[in-house]
Amino acid sequence: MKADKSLLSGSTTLLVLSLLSTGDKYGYQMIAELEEKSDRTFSMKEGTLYPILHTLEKTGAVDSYEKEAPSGRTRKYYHITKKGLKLLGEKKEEWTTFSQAVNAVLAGSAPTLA
Amino acid sequence: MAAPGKSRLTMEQFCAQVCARVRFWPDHAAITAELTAHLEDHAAALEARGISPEEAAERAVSAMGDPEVLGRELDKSHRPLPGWFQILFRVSVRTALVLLLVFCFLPRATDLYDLIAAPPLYNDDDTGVIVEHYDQVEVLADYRPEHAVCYLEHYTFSAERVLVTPREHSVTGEPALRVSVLLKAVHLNPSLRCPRISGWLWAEDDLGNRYPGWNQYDPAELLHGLYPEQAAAPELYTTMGGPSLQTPFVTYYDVYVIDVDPEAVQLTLRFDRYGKIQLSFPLSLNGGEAGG
Repeated sequence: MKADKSLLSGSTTLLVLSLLSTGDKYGYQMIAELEEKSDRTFSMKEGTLYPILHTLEKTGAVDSYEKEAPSGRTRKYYHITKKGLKLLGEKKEEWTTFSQAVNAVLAGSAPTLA
Repeated sequence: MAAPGKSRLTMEQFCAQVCARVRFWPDHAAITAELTAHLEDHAAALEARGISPEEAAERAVSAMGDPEVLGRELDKSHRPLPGWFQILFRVSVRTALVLLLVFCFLPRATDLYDLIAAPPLYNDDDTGVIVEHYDQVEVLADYRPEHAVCYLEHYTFSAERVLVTPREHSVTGEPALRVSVLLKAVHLNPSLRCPRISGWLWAEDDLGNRYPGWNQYDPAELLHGLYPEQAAAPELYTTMGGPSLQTPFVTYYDVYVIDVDPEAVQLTLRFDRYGKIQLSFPLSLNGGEAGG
């Protein structure tokens, strides 16, 4: 199933932060992992990732460093900061509240759908 | 879906179109490098699945989305004004550091240069220099004492040469003496050479003046601080000594005593450690035998 774009946009920051919380990653690695983990639900335009990363870097939620990969290509790795981890906690809570509310409404309307 | 014309962009063209929308040009190089690395990674992954290089590159570019949208989004996090302020800040910090280095270390470097270019001829705290500039120094006595030998715990200590020169008192500036002694310590075991004498070295003259050792000053001061009634206030250090030359079995020490009372005729060099080990060398300040 492909997700609606507007549904995705609000939660992309949460996804990016939670990907980075398991280790330092570069852009393409995050896209590949996202596709793999979400079973291709989030097939967003790959470019969308960078404005999010750059904004997070400006606000101090992540920082970045350049490292040469074994193939010889220099990649920009992103690392989640303490501030980013705190933001991730807040976003997760927000998401849980939101999805519970949506589920509650859906559960209420379930009989009419059936 | 993007227009057909847009999906046929090469990686360079894609990056150029993105950067065209980002007003803060100093960040263009970093954005291009990051996006190019991403595109190349994606294309390489596709090629690994058996897709031709041309098609892989094309697909990688189209997966990125619209370059103009991406460029506009990136422009929001690469604002020109904060960007220029950041650059200004960095440049001023670096300039300040360079200026600090120049003003703090340049004077010292010139001092060092002066020292190398014109070394001081005479440093009156160094016995070696007295010997080197012998004809320029007034020497009151210079002799080798006959019986200044002591044996202690398989060490043989002996005074090899005594030099007495006039020197102003280091505090009062009145005439005083400086006594330099070349002390020799011999031990049969080469690993036991160079006993550390500086901690228990001091001197005493025939008039009853004491010249405490350099390393005895701090403990004396500490004791005086703790028990002002019992422990006397320490005098300024006047007796010093350090190893100057080592051979497998022999160590020579440059020992010297400054601010010696000019009335004194005999000086006794003493070593005592916790009151247990005691060594003493009576030295005449006029040359010849001591105590005579």
